[in-house]
Amino acid sequence: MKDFDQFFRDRLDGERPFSRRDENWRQLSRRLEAFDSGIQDARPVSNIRRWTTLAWKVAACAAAAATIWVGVQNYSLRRQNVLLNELLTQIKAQQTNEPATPATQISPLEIAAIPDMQTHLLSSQNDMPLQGMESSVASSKSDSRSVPSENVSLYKPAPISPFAAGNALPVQPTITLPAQIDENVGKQAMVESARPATPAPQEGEMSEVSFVWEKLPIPDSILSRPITTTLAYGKASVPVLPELSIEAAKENPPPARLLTKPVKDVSRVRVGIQAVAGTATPAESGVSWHKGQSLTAEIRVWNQIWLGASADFVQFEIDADNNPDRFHLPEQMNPDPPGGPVSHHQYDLVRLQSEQRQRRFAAGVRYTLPVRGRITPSVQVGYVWAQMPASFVQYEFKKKPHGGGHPNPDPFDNKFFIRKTENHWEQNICRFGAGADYALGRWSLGLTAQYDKNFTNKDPLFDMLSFKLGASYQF
Amino acid sequence: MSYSDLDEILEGCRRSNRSSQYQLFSRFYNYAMSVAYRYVSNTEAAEEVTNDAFFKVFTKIHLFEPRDEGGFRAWLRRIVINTAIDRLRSSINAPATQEWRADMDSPMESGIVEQLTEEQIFSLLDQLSPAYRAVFNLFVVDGFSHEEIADTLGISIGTSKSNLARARSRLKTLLADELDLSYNV
Repeated sequence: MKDFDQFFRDRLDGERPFSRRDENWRQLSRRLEAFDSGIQDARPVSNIRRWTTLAWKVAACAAAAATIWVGVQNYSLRRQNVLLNELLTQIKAQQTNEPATPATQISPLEIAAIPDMQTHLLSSQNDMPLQGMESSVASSKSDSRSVPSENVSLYKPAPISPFAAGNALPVQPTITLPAQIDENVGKQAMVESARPATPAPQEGEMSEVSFVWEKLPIPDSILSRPITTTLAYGKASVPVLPELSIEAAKENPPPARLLTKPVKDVSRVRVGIQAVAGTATPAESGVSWHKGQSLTAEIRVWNQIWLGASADFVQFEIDADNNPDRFHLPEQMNPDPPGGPVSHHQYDLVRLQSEQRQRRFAAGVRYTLPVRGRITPSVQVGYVWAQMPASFVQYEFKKKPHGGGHPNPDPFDNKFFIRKTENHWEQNICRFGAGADYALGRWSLGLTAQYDKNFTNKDPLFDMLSFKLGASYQF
Repeated sequence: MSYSDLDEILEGCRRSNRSSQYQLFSRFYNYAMSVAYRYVSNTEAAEEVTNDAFFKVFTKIHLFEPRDEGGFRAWLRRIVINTAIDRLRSSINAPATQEWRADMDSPMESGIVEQLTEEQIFSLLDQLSPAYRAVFNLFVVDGFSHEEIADTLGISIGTSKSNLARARSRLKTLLADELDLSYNV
């Protein structure tokens, strides 16, 4: 056992060469400067922690996007419910105020206002017999809902309404039960037409509206509302209509199925998430690419005009061997005394390092070019507010070999200065951009090039040429 | 560099002289990295441990009483080990559940592993769990007793012995696989 341990002790206890000594020293010296300046917790962010933080950022962005999506869905559903309630109320009013009206028709405008309903109604029109069918009740998909055909008569062939004319489709024929319908049959139809989750309506509650419900995407919560009781079915509310025979219905076969599918109604709101990569413009030596992510939200206000807002979170590093103009060293931090010829200075600035983060919030307008096809180019212009959180900027000075006319005996006598920049906001930034979207249904993939022009030249905010690649979802 | 040179460097470090700190860092960087690398087996993590350790050295330098270079090495080594253990503490304590039994230690044939290179040795060490690797390093390489290991890692002495035995056993198995030898553990 001793041999075993001794072997590992000899092999592992040696000193091995490792690289990156100077890089680690620079990182450590920054911490020491921060410590000496009284900033105790100025610990560097390790790469592992940085990736963990990035993962949490991505998760937070995804959670925020999901929350927004659920919120919009919820709002859309509530809006549909309200419209459906209004629709049912109107149907009820028509039934009550216009008993002589042969058919209870849903306003085309109302149908158009409810995209899903429109879709279902139109599709249901395809499923239901339109003219001359001997029993539109029996034509329902559910066999259990059938009513003896001899007790059901159809109203006269429906006229073409303006709405339906666009699709070359007759208006939905109204199903009207004859007044002399047998009470037992009415009871049967009433019970069988109720949905399973809907409480069985009482006797005499059934009306033709029930059949419309069968084709609507109405939640049970609505169907179970007392409206069913107000739409009372009975001899008083059902108009007496001329009876059509089955033979007459057979002579008028139903028209061809609808070929034109209803257009999906797309919301005006669009949200997206993008990856951002940008570079300082004009190129600055030692300034890395700006990398980060972006969240966008847009609303279409008119045809191809979109109003939008975006939040870009980018970060970049500066590791320069000169002093970029936007990171000028305060005079009091210069190791050489102010004034005097440069040849008498004892120190040279040899390195400037900093990790910078920026949050760019923009509001603007985007115009999509009216181009046919899946690819939609667009141009945009906006105004940007940039937040620059507090950061550290390290200046490293190296003593000249013969600074000030005297030889320097200590080659390690470098001086490090740490400057902490305060959190501040920058304005006067305009954004110009152009891009293209590739539509995939409600989703779209987009690539955008943007140029942020900072019209205030004295602050440490570079002009940035950035590229955004990401996905958007239109509700 | 003689000890007087090191003494001057340490004196400069006490005055927070950046040049002295750089010289001390440069001089012991490889040593500290070697110690840290044995515990974390990852260069990037070892760099972070080393930087943390040197940060402690420079901010606690007034606690070190100068004796000789060996004394400073031992002090630095202890700081690096403690820093690495702090980093690995959560993973070290997790699997330490089984108490040691006398039959866990097994003899080993000598002379079969002399041909292994340093890279192979470290790759074997990498395959140990953090708990086993820490105990093995502390006991075999750094010369800690089981009482000190138990105190450092916050585990029982029996667990320390168990982890050491299992680390040895695991290493022997890995060695056998590495050398492609039929090996009776």
